[in-house]
Amino acid sequence: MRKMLLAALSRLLQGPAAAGRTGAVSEASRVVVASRNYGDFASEATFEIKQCDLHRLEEGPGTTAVMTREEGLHYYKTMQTIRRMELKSDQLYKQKIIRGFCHLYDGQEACCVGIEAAIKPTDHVITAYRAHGFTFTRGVPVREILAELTGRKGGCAKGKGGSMHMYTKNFYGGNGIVGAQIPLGAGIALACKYNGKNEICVALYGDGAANQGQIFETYNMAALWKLPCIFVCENNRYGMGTSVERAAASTDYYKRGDFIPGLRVDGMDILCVREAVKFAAEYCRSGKGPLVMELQTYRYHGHSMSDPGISYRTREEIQEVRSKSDPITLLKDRMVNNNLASVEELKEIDVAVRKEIEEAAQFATTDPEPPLEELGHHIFFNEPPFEVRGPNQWVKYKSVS
Amino acid sequence: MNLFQSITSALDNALAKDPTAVVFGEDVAFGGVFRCTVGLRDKYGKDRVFNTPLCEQGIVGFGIGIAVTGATAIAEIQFADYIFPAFDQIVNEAAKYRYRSGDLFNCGSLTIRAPWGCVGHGALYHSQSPEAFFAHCPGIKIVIPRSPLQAKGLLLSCIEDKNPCIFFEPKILYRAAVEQVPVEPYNIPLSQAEVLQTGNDVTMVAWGTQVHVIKEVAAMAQEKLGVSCEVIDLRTILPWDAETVCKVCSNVP
Repeated sequence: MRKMLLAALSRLLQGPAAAGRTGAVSEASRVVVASRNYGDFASEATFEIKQCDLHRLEEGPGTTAVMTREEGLHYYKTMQTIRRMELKSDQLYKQKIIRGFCHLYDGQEACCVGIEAAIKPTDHVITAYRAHGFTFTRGVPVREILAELTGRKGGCAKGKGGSMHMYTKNFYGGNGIVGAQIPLGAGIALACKYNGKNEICVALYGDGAANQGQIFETYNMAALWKLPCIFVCENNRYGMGTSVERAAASTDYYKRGDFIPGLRVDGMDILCVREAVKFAAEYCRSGKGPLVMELQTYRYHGHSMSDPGISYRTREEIQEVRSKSDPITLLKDRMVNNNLASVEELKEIDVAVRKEIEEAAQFATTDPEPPLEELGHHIFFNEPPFEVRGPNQWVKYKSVS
Repeated sequence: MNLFQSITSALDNALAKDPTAVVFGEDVAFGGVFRCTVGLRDKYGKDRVFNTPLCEQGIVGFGIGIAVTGATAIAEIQFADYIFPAFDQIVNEAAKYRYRSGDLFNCGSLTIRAPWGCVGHGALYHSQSPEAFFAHCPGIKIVIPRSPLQAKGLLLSCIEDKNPCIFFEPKILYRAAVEQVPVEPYNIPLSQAEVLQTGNDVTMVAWGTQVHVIKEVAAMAQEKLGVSCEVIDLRTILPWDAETVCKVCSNVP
């Protein structure tokens, strides 16, 4: 009762001032918000999280996690942004504004947000083609991601990369060939160790890629040279259309590193992911070598936009995961039940996110495409300009590096 | 039949005629991502048509092993763009097996099939035409058909050929190209180019999808420039039919 009264009062006082999420809040309402904060919500809460299965480790991450109100709101907003961004991409793809290949991340948001929460911006991340979530958490604004999907020059790869090839500082993509990014991740980890700035690399791959030969070659090198690399297997139970039981002799992906210690984590619980990655990051930074981590997660969409996603799994299964383990719902329930936020407040975030996505989509559909003259650029570096043959020998593009 | 159906028909014939023949690759069991293997598992059983995990190097290496024992191995690489992890196996193992064992062993009963070529929306990793990388490797044969009728005959020849063969299937033609194709098996000889159209002024050689483009160009050249073009479909890239091409070229006055 008192809560509702205070909330109504603060809304009245805030009036036409900006809807709280951005910095521009007037003095008067700031005072009201502060007292609302103090009076209404807890500043933090402690949660029980699932214990991780361990491989060759005496101890793992703990079974409790502390989350502050600010952290919770930030995680919620980030995950909701990714969710809505992916759904918007689905819509744009069906309208044929996005073409080519598009692999959506909805359902797996807790993985990328949890990882980012546990590492520093100076750490490095590399993943495969289901990369939109990581591109966002590593700092690329939504409008640049959507513009890259629609192939416009405002995109983060100037419109030349598309869905699978998005990059930013300390985020190395976005890689199309399955499994090929893992040796790269080990190389980045070697550079981290060599440069001595206490940085680590998180190299991600899927359950399908876990059977690629180069992953095992990388495990060996990383363990031999004690590289500060966390190998993360995002196990969403299906490698394209093949369920894990039909593809792998051992579905204990966290044990596949054999001589590399591993842990298996509930990838739908963002706090579980965060604590596990914190543990792993500390392990790697202390010079003990690499770790393998399996995140048990789920994707709602099919493998890509051309896969309906129901020929190899049932609608009931998808529904069940959505209703029982959705990462955003889990966080929301936790926050509301522990007095870290109100339902209305989270709804306001939803509205703000929707607006941001709409604006980004607007930009992505109206921004011009990169000019045709740029098609051949950036093949080589620092070479004199040369000509690249187009679809026939009389069409040439100048390649400037 | 369209192209993917003609491939299914060829595989069906091969599995029926040769009891040692097996078809394997990523997702082939349910019919394949391009429907080339639809119905085969139901007809021939799960020990003859089976899925492999995601491991191209493993698939080809495994195929070489099957072929060395004398069984017929028909391996599928899901896209030609993914053939590179298997490059070492193809070039260093498959191509040189017969030579290095002094003809004691061979993996001639291996055929590798892969969807090939651009589709317009494939970008970097679903559009590649890598035949040039393999074209300078003695010991393997490379075949690229231009149509369903050609595909079936050429694929059956590859499967029966006693050398390891790579058969690239133009994916843009899988549904687009439709022809009358016999249901019974038939062979089209390898290493024989086909002259599709004779002419006096210019010779144009192409393979796969490009053959259709060249044919259109030849018609346009005739109509607009009065130039008479010879159009040749190379069909087998390695070993290629140099004799036909040279004979045709030397006919130019």
